[in-house]
Amino acid sequence: MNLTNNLKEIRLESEFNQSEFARLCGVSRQTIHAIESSKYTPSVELALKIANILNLNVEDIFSLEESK
Amino acid sequence: MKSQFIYLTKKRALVLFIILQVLPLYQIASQSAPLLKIALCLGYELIIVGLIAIWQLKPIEQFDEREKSVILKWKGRIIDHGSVTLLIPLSILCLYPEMQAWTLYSFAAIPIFIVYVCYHLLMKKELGQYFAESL
Repeated sequence: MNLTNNLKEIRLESEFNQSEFARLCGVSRQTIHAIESSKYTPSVELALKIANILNLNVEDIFSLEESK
Repeated sequence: MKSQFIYLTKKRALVLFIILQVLPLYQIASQSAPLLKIALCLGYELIIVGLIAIWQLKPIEQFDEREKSVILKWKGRIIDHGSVTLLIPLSILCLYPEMQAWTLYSFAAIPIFIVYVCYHLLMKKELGQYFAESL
């Protein structure tokens, strides 16, 4: 099972740029980029923080996908 | 309160590099350089690269969870692989027990130094923060 996300689309819909969003999350811009490109799986704390900032549930942003 | 931490910006790195290049250039250019002097200059260059490699980009408490995990991973590799390089001088000592101390020291120090510098550079590449972004 792989963790996928549609953070980039949601972030752009909410009109946040990476730097601004990273500052709100309390992480670096590179970390947001790593999450969006699925290179890094965030901790539960960070995932909840992201969902909270975007006023969504964690499941709306992150989902599990069957690995091929 | 203003931070006392010295950040490595592109401008500062360039200035530092140029300043540090003056000494070996002066040493080599001043006369027909003997081999020992060239070797010393090469060692000097290695130290500069090492210093730039280990330059901390920001205080440790400002790193986020991903950055801390990346740092931990690379520090672990430095310890693992750095300790393995100690096998090189030990093996050489077994084969040539009459070896001089400074030669043995070189065989121990150089591989560890290379591992240390290269892994720090790779760590910073993975962190995506070769230079401080904005000041």
